[in-house]
Amino acid sequence: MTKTAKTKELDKDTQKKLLQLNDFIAGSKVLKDKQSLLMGVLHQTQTLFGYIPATAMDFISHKLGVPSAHIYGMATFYNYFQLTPKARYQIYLCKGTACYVAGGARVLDKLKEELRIGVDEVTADGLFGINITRCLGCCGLSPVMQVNDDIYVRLVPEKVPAILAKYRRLGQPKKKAKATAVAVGGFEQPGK
Amino acid sequence: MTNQLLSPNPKQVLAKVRQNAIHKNLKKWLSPTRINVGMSTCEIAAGSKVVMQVFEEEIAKRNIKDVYLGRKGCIGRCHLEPTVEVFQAGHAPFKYDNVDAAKARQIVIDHLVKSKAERPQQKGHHYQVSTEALTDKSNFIFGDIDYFKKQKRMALRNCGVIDPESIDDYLAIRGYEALAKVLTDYTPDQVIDEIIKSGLRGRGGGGFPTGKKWRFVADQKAEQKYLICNADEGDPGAFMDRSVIEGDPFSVLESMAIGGYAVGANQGLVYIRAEYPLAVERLKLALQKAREMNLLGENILGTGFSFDIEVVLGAGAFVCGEETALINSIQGERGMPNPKPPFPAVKGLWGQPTLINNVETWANIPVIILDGYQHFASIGTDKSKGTKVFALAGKIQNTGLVEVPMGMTLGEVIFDIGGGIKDGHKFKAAQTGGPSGGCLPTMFLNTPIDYDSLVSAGSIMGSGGLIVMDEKDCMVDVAKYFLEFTQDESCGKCTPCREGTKRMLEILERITSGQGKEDDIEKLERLGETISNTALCGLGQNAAKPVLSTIKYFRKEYEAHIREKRCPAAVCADLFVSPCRHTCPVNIDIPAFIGAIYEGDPAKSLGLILERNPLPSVCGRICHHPCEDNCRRGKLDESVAIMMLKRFAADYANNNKLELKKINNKKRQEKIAVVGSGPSGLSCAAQLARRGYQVTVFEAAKTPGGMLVLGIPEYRLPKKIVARDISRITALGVTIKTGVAVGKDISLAELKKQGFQAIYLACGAWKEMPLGIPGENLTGVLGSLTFLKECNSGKRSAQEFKGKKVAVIGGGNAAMDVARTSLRLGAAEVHIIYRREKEAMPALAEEVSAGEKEGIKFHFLLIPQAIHGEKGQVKELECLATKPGDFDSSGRRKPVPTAEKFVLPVDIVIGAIGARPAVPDIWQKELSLRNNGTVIVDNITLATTEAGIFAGGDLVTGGGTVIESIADGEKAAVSIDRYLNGEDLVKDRVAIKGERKEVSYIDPAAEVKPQPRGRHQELELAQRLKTFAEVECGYTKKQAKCEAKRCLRCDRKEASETNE
Amino acid sequence: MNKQINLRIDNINVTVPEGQTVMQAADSVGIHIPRLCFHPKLSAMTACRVCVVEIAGRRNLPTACNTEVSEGMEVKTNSAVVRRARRDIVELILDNHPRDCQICERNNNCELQELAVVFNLDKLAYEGERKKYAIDDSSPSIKRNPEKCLLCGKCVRVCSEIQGVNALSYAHRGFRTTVTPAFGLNQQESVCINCGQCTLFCPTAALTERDVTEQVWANLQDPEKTAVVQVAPAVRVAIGEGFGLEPGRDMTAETVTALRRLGFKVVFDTQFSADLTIMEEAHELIQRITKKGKLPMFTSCSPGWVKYCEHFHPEFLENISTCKSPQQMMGALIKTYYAKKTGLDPAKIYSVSVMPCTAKKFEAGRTEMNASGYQDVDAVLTTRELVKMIKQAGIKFTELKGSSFDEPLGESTGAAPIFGVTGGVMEAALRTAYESLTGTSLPNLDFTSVRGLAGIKEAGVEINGTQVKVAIVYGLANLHKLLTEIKEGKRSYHFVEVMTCPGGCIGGGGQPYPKGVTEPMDFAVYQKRAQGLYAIDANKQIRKSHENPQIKKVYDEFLGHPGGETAHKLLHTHYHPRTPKGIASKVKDTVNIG
Repeated sequence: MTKTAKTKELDKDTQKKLLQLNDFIAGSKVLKDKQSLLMGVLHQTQTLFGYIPATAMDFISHKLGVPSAHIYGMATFYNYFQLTPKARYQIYLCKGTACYVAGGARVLDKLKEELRIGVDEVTADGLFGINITRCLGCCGLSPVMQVNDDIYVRLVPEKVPAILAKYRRLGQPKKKAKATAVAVGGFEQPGK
Repeated sequence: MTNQLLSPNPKQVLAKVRQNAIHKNLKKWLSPTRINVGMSTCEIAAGSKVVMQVFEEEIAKRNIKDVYLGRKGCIGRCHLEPTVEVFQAGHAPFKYDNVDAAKARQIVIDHLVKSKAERPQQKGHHYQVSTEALTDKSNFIFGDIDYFKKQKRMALRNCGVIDPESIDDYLAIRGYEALAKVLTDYTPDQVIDEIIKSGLRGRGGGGFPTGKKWRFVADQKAEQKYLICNADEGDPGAFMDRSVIEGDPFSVLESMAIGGYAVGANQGLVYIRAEYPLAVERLKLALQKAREMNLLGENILGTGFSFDIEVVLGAGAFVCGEETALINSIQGERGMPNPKPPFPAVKGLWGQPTLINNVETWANIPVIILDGYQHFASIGTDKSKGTKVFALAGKIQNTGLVEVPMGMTLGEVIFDIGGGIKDGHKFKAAQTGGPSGGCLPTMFLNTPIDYDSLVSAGSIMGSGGLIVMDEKDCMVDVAKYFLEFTQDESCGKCTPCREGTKRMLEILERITSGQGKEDDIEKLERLGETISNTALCGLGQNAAKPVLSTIKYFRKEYEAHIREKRCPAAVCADLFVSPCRHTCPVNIDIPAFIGAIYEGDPAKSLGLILERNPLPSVCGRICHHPCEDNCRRGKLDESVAIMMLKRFAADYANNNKLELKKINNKKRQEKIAVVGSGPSGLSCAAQLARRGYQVTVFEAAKTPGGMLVLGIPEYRLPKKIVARDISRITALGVTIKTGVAVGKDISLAELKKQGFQAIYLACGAWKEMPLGIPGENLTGVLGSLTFLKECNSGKRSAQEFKGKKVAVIGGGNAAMDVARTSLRLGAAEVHIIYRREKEAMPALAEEVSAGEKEGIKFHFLLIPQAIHGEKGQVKELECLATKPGDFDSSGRRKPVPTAEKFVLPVDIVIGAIGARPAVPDIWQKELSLRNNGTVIVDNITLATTEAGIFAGGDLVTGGGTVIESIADGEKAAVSIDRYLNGEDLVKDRVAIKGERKEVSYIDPAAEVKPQPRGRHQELELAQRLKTFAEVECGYTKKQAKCEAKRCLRCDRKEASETNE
Repeated sequence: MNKQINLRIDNINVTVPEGQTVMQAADSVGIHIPRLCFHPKLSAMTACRVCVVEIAGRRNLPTACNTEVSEGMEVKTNSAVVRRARRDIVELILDNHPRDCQICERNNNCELQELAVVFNLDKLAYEGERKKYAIDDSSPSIKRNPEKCLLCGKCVRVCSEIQGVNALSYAHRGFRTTVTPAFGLNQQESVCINCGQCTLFCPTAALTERDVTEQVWANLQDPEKTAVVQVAPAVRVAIGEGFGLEPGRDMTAETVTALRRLGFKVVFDTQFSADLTIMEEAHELIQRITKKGKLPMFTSCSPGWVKYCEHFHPEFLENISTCKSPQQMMGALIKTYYAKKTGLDPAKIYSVSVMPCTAKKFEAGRTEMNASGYQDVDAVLTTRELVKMIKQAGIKFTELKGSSFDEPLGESTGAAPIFGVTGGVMEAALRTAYESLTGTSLPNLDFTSVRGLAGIKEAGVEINGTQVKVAIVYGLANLHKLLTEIKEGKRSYHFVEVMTCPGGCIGGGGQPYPKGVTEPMDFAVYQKRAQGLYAIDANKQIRKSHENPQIKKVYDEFLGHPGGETAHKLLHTHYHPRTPKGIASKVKDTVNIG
C-alpha cells in the first residue's frame, strides 16, 4: 500500500525498477527471515539502478520490514555498494598487494592528477570516476586497471593520458545521452 | 534405506549417473583433437575471450569437424596467460603461452589444417584418446613442466583440467564418488573420524583442526544446523578460492554435502565475493546442474539424505572473513564481528550451530575421503598435513597459484617454483598472511612453511598470499600499505582497531613523507601491542603484524626515513623528486644534468655533476649506477643510460677546463690530513677544499688515485682520465704527498702534532683473502689485487702470460678484471671458477657479458679443493662440484660440495675472493677495529672512537663501491667541517631532496613511445684483446642528445603545480 | 543452573553463580571495572574495550563485560598490562574527541572525562586527524554532535532495543563510522520520537537536549512579557539530584520558590492540568465504552508515543485519546482562561513548562497546539535545564524556603502526581471513571495491580459488573509487541496507558544525568522517584481528580462540562500519519506481561 502511494510521485523508470525489485524479493528464497535477504536485495538494487538510491532503500525497508536506518547502515558499510550514481566511465584501479608493489600507487597519482578528482569522486562532466578495488585477481599482470569492462594491464603512469584520451573521444559526441547513461549507472560499453 | 537388498546403494546409483554422463559425451571426448582455452577471470583479463572467439570462428569458417573446443579453469601460471593446450591423438600435447588472436589462428593452421606429417612435433608421451581422457589430461598438463614438478595438486587437482561448467567432466574424474562413498559406507561419525585423523587444518587463516570443528558442530543438539563455505576471499593478493570455484565448483558443492551429512545439517550457504562475478556465475550454474542430477536437494542419490545450498554475495568487506561478521552479513546486518565465545559451532547463523570452512578447506575433503586419511596425513609436516595453495605475486618470476606440500621451505617455493626474483634483483622479504601477516626476510628462506613455524617467525599462514619483495621495495611503505588496508577495512566497532590503526597509519604516513619523529618507532610498537592485545576480532588483533614484523627485521629502513629523510628503495615519493637522484649515494641532480645535455650544454651539465661529485670522469665509466636500477624509464622499456651520459658530459665539457666550485669564500687556516688518495680520500679532500680548508692527502703509492689507478684495469678506466679528475682537485689547493705510508712512515699522533686538526682515514682494503686450500704457495698462484696493482704499474709483462692457462677464482668485479686483464696479457685460456650459479655472481652484468664475448670460460658451481703443482709450479686446479643448498643470509643458496671432482689443467691461479683492510699494527692501539680489520665508526658521522679522526670507504666497509666511497668522503668532510666549527655532528643530516623545475621540452600529456636505450660504440673484439685501450667509447653528441631525450624528467613540475 | 563458580579476582576469592560475567563477579567484591559501551539492560556490544582484564591462560586481554566466569579462573583487573591497555584505549578515544571540556554540556558529568582523569592522561601521544561533522540541531528536542560520539552504540541500542524506534544506526565504517539517522538525514527529518533516552545513555555530549535556557532568560528579562511557568509532576522528585540530593525527595515547594526567583511571575502546577486531563479522559473512555467507540483507548499524555504512533502504527491513531497532554491543556488555559481572568494580553504571556521530557519540546511546537490562537506553550525546559538556570542564578536550591503554586491553576489532587510514573495515569483515571460510572465511592484508592516497574502490566477492574481490561506499558519496544498482539487479536483491552520512557516520566529523557557509577535506567533510582510521587499522592487530602475544587471552578467558569464544546476546542486534538513511515525493530524479550 505504501508502494503505490510512493511510486506515484516517482518517474516511470524508477517505478519500473522498483517493480522489478519487488519481483526479485518475491522470488527470493527465505531461509529464516526477510532481513537475511538484504545482501541479495541490495545487490539487485545496484544492478537495476547502477547505485542504491534512498528511494529504493525506503522501498526495501517496507518490503522486508527492516528499519530504514538499518538498511542505510548496511549499504554504507559495504564497499561494493554505492549510494551515488557512477560516472560514465568508472575506473577501478586495483590496489591489491601485487599491484601496489608493482607501482599501482603511482598510476593512481597520475589518474588523480589527470582527472583532478580524488578516489570515489566523479569528474564534473560525469565522464570519469575513480574507485579503488582490492584485487581483481590478475596479480600476474599488475598493475591492473579496469575502465567499465575493459581491463588494462601492466600499467605505468605514462600510459594513463592516452587511455583517458580514448574515452574522452568516445564520450564527447554522445553528450546528450550522458544524462540517461548516468541515471542507469553508466553501464554502457565504450564504443558499443 | 528400508529395503537395502532391493534398492541400489548410493555408489551404484552414482555409477549409473556417471555412465550416462560419459555416454552422453563420448563422441565429444573421443574427438581426435581437443583444444582447451583458459577461461578464468585472469585468463579473460589477459585476453582469452578473444582467443576463444578466434578458435570458434576459424573452426567454423574452415568447417573443421572432429575437434572439441573446451574451456578450462586456471592452472595457476598467471604470467603466461592466456594459455591454450592442444591434445591430439598420436602427438605429445602442446602447450601455448601468451596466446593472442594471431597465435590462435596459427594454432588452428598448425594442428587442424596441416597434414599429420606437417604438424609441429614435440617430444614427450603421445596423447591417447580414451574415456579416461580427463585423468590422462591432467598428467599431461602438470607432468613435465618445471613449475609443477615440486607442486602437489590436491585442492587444485581439477583446476585447469575439467570444464568447470560441465558436471559431466567432473563426474568423469571421480566426481561425487566421495559423497557416494560416505553415504554408502560411513556413518556421520566415521566421516568426522576420517577428517580428524587426516590432520586437516582450516586453510583460511588460523589453522584450526577441521575435524575438531566438525565434531563440535555434530555434538550440538539442535533442530537446525547450518553449513557455510566462506568464499569471501578478502586478502588482497590471494585468489585461490576464486580459482577453485571458477575451475572446479562441483568439488566444493560435493564437500559441503559430505559435511552436511557428517554434522547433521541440511542447509548450506556459500558466502562469496561479489567482485568475482565469474565465480558466482559458475557456482550458480553448478548448483543448478547438481540439483538437476539429484546430487543436491532432496533425497540425494536415493538415500533420504537431503542437502541444499544457497549463494549469498558479499559486498566488499574484508572483515567478513571473520566468521561472526560473515554470519552477521548473511543475516542482513553490518558485517561487524561479535565476541567469541559463543563460537559459531555452538551458536552461529540465526543462533543455530554452524560449521564454517573456507573454500580451500572444503576442496580438500573429497581427496581425504577417496584416498583415505592415511594418504593425506602422509603429506606435510608433523602438525600441518596436506598441501597449501599460495598465490605468488610481487617481484617474482613466475607469478601465479602454486600448491605445495606443507613443510616446503619458503626459499624452495620462491626460487624453485617461483623462478626467483624478477629482473635478476635480490630477494628482500616475503609477505605471508596478507594484511594480518608479516614480512619475512632472507633469514627465513630455509623455514619450512607450516602453520606453526610461520607463527613463530612473526607471520601467519593466512589464506596463502605470498608477496615477494626485492630491494626496490620499501618496507616502511609496505607496512603502510597493509595498515592502510586494515584501516580501510576496519569495521569501526571496537576502539583499538578503529582509532588505533588510524593513528598507526598516520605515524607511518608521516615517516614516509619525511616528517617522522625520533620516538615514532616506539610509538608504533606500543600502539601495535595495545591493538593486538585488546581488539575484538582477528582483523584488529593482527592489524599491527605487518608493522611490527617490518620494524623487527628492517628497523634500519625506518631509521633512514626518520633520521635521514631517505627512502633507500626510492619508493616513498614525498622524500624525493626523482628516484635516480635519491638513490645516487652523492645525490647528483641527474635529471638536470641530463636535461642540460639535451639542451646541448655539456658544460652546464658537468657543472651540475661537479657540485656533488668531484670525480665525474671516473664515475662516468665505472660506477655501479644504482640510479639506473631505479630509473622509471626502466618500467617502460629500458632505463636511461645515466652513466654513459655522465661520461659524455665529463668528456665533452673537459675542453672548457671546468673547475670545481668553492662552496663558500672562506679561507680556513685549519689543516686537515686525508690518508689515502683513492676515491674516498679524493672526495673528502675536494669537499673540504671547497669549504676553504688546507688539505694534505697522504698516499703510500707513487701515484695518486688508489684503487682507481691500481685496482682497475686501464681498459676500463684509463689513467689519464683519473688524472684529469685529480688535477681538478689539486687545482683547488689540495696537496697530495705520495710515497708516504701513514701508520708506517708517520703515526696518527705525529700527524696531529704536525698541526693537522682532523684526519680522514680512507686507505682502502688491500689485503687479499687467502684461498685457504693446499697448494696456495706454489708459483703461479696470485692474488687479484697484487696482480692488478702490478699490471697497472707495469710490473707484469705479457711474456709471463703468453699462451698460459689461467684460472680465476671468484665471481665479483675483481675476478672479471683479473680475467679480462689476463686475456690482454696474452693468456691462451682464461677460466672463471665460481661456486654458485651465474645469476648469483656479484659482478656487474655488463662486465660478465663483456667477458663472455672476449672468450672467457665460466665454470659455475665449483669449489676449489686444491692446487696441484709440479716442481713448485702450478699444474692443475682441483675442484669439487657443488649443488645449491640452503639459503644464506644474503638470500642466495649456499653452495654445498658434492663428491664430484673436476680437475682443470692450469698454469696460473688467481684468487679474487675478496679483500680486507691492511691496517698498520699501530692502529690496533690508536683506533677501534673489528676482527676483520675494518675501522669502527658512527654510521652517520663516520667519526671513529678517537676525537677528530674519521674514517670511511673500504677501510670501514671492507669492500664497497666507488660511488659509496666517494659519498663517504663527502660525509666525512661535512663531519669534519662541523667538528671544526664546534657544531653538532649528527643533527639534520638529511638527504637532499631537490626541487622540481619547469621543463619546457616535455609534454606531460603526450604518450611515451617505447624506445630502447641508445647503444654506444665499443672497441672491436679483435682489437680489444691486443691492447689495454678503453673498450667502451662513449656517446657521440648526437647519440647523447637522443639518449637524454629518453629521460622522463621525473623532476619536472607537474601541470597542476604550474597552474595553481 | 544454580551452580556456583569459584574464581580469583585480583587475588580475592570470589564465588558467583554460573553464567555471570567477570564484570559482575568483580562488582560483587567491590571492584568497579571501567566501561563505556556496556549497559546491563542493553545487549552486549564489547566495542569500547575499556573493560579489558587479564585472565591467566588467555592470549589477549578479554573484555570483562561479556566473559563468563569459569571455575578456577584467575583474573587481574589492575595489572600493568591492563592499566596500560586501558590508558591507551582511553587516549585513543580522546585523540579523536574535541578538547572543549570547559564549554561542554557534560563538563564534570562525562564518562570519558572521568576516565581521562582516572588514567592520568596528562599528555596525548598519538594525536592526529580528528573527525569533523556538523552539529545537527534540526530537532527541537535533541541536539546531535557526532564529533563527541565515542561510537559506544548505547543510543543505537536504547533506540532500538528499548524504544523499538531505530531512528539511529551506525553508518559507514572504520574511522568514518558515525551514528546517524537513515540516509544521513537530520534528526528532524527522521523517525526520531524525541524521547531523549539517547541523551541519558550517551556517555558524553554527543546527544543532548536542545537547550533553550538562553531564550527563556531573554523572555524572563523582557519587561513587556509576563512569564508564566508550569511544572510537571516527575520534575519535583528528581530535581534534587541535580543538587546532590537523594532521588525521590519531594522538592515541590523549593522548586516553586526557585522559579519565582528566576523571574517567573506566575507559577502553575501541571498537576492541575493532570487532574483536568483525567476529567476529560475518563469522560472519553466512558463514552467510548458505552457508545461502542474505538477501543482500546490509549492515553495521549506521552508525546513520544504519539509521534511513534504517527510514524509506526498510524492504524492506531484513532485509538489514541483525543485529550491533549496536561502540558498542552495548561498551555491552552493560560492563554485563554487565565489571560481573560487577569486581563493579560495572551500575546504578551510567555508560557514556559518544566518537564522531565525532551519530547515535550517537540509537542509544544506542534501545529495542532495553538488552540488559544497562539502557540500554547512557548518554551519547554527539561529538569536538567532548570537545574542549570537555578545554578546560573546562584540560588542555593537546597536551602530555599518553600512556597506554593499560584492560583487559580495551582491546585491538584493525589491523582495528579502519579501521572509521572508508569501506571499512574491509569490509576488516576480508574479512580474517576469508577466513581462516575458506578456513582459510588471507591473503597480503596490504591490500584496496586497497576503499580510497579514492569514493562507491560495488565489488570482487570470490575466496574458495574463489566470487567474493564486495562494494560500499562512503557518502552515502545514493549508497546510494539503489545500492539502486534492486539492486532493479531491475541489481546484486547478497554484502556491502555502508554508511557514512552522506562518507568514513565520519572525516567524521562530530560531528567538529571546519572552521576558516577549509577547508570541510566537504574530501577533503584526510578523506584525512589516513584515512591516520592506515591508519597505526594498519599499525603494529599483529595486524591481523586473530579474532587479537585479548582477543577470544578474552571469547568463552571469557563469550560462547561467534560467533553463539552469549549473543552473540546481547547483540550482535544487529533493526530495524523507521518512520513517517513517507520518500521519497529525486533523486540527484545525482556519484559513479560504479568
